[in-house]
Amino acid sequence: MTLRLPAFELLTPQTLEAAVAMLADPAATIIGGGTDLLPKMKRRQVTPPTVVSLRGITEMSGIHTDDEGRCVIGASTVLEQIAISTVVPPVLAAAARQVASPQIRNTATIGGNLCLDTRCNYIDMPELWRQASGHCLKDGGEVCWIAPKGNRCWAISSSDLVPVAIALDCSVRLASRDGDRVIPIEDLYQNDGIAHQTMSGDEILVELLVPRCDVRATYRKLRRRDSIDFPLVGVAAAARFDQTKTCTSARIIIGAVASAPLRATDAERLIVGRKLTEDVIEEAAQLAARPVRTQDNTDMGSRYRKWMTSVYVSRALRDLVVEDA
Amino acid sequence: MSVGSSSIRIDAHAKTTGEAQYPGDRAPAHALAARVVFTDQPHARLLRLDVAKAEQMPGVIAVFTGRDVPVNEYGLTEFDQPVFVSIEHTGRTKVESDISRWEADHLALVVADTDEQATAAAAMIEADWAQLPIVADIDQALAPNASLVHPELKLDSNIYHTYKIRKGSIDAAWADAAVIIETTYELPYQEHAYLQPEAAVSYIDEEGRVTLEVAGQWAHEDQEQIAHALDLPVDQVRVIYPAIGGAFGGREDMSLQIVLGLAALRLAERGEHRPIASRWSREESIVGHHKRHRGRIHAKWGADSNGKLVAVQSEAWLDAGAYNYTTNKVLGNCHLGQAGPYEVPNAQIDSHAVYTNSVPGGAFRGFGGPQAAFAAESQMNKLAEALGIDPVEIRLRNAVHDGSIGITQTVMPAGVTMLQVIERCASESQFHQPLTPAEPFSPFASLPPVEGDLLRGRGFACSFKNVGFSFGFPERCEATIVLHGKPDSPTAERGELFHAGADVGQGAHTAFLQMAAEATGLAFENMTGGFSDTSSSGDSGSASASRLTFMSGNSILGAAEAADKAWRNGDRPAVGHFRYVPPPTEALDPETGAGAPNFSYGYVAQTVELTVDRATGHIVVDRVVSTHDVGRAINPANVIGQIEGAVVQAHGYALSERLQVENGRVLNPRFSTYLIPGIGDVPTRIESVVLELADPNGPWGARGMAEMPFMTYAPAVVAALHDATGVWFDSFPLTPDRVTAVLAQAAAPSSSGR
Repeated sequence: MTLRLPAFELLTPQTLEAAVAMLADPAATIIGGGTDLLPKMKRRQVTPPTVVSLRGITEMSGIHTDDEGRCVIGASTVLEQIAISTVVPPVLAAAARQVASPQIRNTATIGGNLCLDTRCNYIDMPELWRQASGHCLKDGGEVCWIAPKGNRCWAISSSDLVPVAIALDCSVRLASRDGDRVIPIEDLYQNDGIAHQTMSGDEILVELLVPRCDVRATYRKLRRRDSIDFPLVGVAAAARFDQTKTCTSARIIIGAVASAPLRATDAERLIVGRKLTEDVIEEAAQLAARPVRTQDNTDMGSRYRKWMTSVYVSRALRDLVVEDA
Repeated sequence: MSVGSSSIRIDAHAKTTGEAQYPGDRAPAHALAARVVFTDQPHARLLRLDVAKAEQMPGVIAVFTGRDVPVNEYGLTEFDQPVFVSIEHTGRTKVESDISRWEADHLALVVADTDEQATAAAAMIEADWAQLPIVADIDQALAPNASLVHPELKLDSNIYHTYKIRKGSIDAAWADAAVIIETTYELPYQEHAYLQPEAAVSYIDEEGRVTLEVAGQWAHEDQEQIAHALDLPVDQVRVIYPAIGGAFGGREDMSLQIVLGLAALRLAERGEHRPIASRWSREESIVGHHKRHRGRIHAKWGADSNGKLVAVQSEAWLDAGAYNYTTNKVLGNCHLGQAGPYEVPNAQIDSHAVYTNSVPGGAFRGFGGPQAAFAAESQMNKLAEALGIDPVEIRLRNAVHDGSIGITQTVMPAGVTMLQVIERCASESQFHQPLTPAEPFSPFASLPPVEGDLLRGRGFACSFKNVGFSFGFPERCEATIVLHGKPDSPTAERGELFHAGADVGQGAHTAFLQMAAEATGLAFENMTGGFSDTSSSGDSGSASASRLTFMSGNSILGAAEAADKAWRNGDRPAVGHFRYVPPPTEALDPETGAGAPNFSYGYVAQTVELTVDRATGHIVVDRVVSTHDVGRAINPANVIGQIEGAVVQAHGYALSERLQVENGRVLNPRFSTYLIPGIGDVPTRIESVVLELADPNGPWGARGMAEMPFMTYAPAVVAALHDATGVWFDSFPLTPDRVTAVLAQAAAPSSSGR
């Protein structure tokens, strides 16, 4: 037996207004490139009767700079287009280049990447396997098999672009029948494997707004295989420095260690007002990893991933060090 | 010259354009869909099986179970596995049919109009089980009072097969050793991960034969096993191999052959003549077929101060899983390999096959050799380090050569070229030149250079692997050549070759036609083939054991000679048939291991250079120099393809592939959790060095070569990792978490340093 898609109705609106109207149906789900949704449908993790494709809405694709100097990336823009873009901040292009494989980058959209469902070794299995082992919390069951004593889902936020977008203080525009709203992208996520996004089911993520980039920024991704793999740990860092190389502002975001990207606020506070010496970097890296509670729910053990969090924070911070001229 | 040229493969166009038909493409639109139902029970007794509800489901044509199988047993080397686990059966079986010993034992076959209907019906099958203790691994299998996986064998433990070697006296020899190295090595499973999951189509052909279109490695052996279970004369079964999407040993054993053959037979009896098709998902494939054996080798080696080996003591345990498959043969190969390609005056080696309730171990490129080579080559590298002798030099002092007495106390088959291969590998890889500093990783690497954390190292390993079946197994290969042309012409215009040898993707059929053209004097373009159909070809033996080029080449040479004779006698067309039988081999003496187990070997040496990020444990292999004596490269491009392919496959084995099996269940039967290398992960450079030192019995001097590049890779990587870090790794895969953990342990103050 091979895994086949369940039957569904495909709607192909040509305008955002039409799409928003279709999404009023709670049974409808958005599809972008489908690289996240379709495998989940094949595994019967989700079986939406109605799927709304955004592909026909031309205004949702492409990259431009708006009047305020912000870089606006339409949600339907494929990742490869971002990876090769000279308009987006280099760190965002670099992060896009590290997503999955060339085939997926040519299909997957940034909207889909920003809305990537959380992942876990238990949920991401075929239906028969899940039936045999018992459905987990995220799968409509009663218990999280990763942490059976708790009452939450620990599935992992695995986007490469979200940590970078938060580090750059990006915003997203959300559309619904009630109109548009723009919120900081950081507010889009919450640390719960099931309800990992704060947007409601009838909202569409329309575009990513990237402020004019005046920070030093980097993204460091640890994965098993260079060819293709989700991050085991992803660290985005962005900071500003004055003329004495003292850090004046900082954001450090850790991806793939929780159900939402984690902001290492203690480490951020530590480095602001200091120069990025090796000692400061090491201390910040330890501080950043301290609250991380990795679980054994993806490749590699939880201990290794927590350990690597500090290694990767220190590597990211070293990238930000202003070299002597 | 056809032999020695890199002819374009005859399947290249069809495979590039997608026209090639694999078994999954062979199902006609009106075919019925069949679904194999696994028991999903690693160890349990079947108490009740009720398929009545399934039979009533929409679209269902039939549900077959053990009661429908004439002889409910099968197995490539021993009939130790029921076709279906069942309470009802015909009684003509030696195994207890009502016990599931493996989660992927078959319970039923559901045939329906569509795959969806078959799947829905499969869910309605009712089975009650009484759980039996699950023997999860070697440790549990060997524990006192362990439950027996095969109590019918009346053995007192789960060890069911043991080989021995007793040569000289190790007890006396230890006194001569300047250094003794003793280590326990843990060896992991490996999944074949061929491109094409199991698929087949069955029907009754125009001559009334139960016919299977399926991917395998030995059509006539498939035919025999199907005939045995269906209780049919062999000639009432026909096996055809369409295009095969990789095999690597993973298609030596039955998957869909018997059950789909059964369905064709039984449905025809009921007047239902539609073909029956089935295809496994990737998950079913990984759960449902055997693996490279996991195992353990405890090795104790001694050498004198000059680095000459004085004694080898070794004991190996391979996890056979629930059924033998080819374990007894794999074990033999592992047994011979534990002393390495070296002259060893004193040896005591014991190798055991152990039944468990885990996935069966079986054939996989190298056939037990890579496990043995990992232990042997690691031992050799440790001896070299302990004695302060260069790793190449210590091998040159010990390696077998023409006239050497092998570990089985007989003279090695002539044409021993281990020394030449070692020397050539060392020179081609500049092994004795300083290693250059770490270069940045690839531009897309996940780990950009962090200078302080990058360490470089270089390692060396060598090995050998037998060509052909061993231990007295009747080895043969048949070919038929038909020459066409004008009655009065002294030469033929064109020729046909009929051969059953399986082209599993390695390019065998192209090599066959090159050799047939060479042997008949025809141009390559004027030679066509009829391949891999038991109705038109004699038995070729298996596409395994690095034997097919050697064996088929000799059969083709004989057939060409016979066809030429017929041509000169005036036959038009002129038909030549030949059955090649190589020099005989012997079973080993059960107590001493003495005997001549093999008739030919291929030789390999590899240098591996790598960079390791000591903070993350991430390894990048920068360069592999893989050096082979292939005797004669019939098609040099395909030889290099085999070398590069085997290195990549071994790269996964050594570095990333970790099959998780707990309590008899495979936990990661998917390529998102069982990680084979991608193009960004394989060695940055693979340099294939091909020597052509003729085998005295090889066709045009050719030796087998396709397993050999796999043999040495893992120990060479571990040697390079030791060179980089100063730490030995005695288990793998070398996943980043393992590397960092072992490095941290070695750096801890309480550690002994090894």
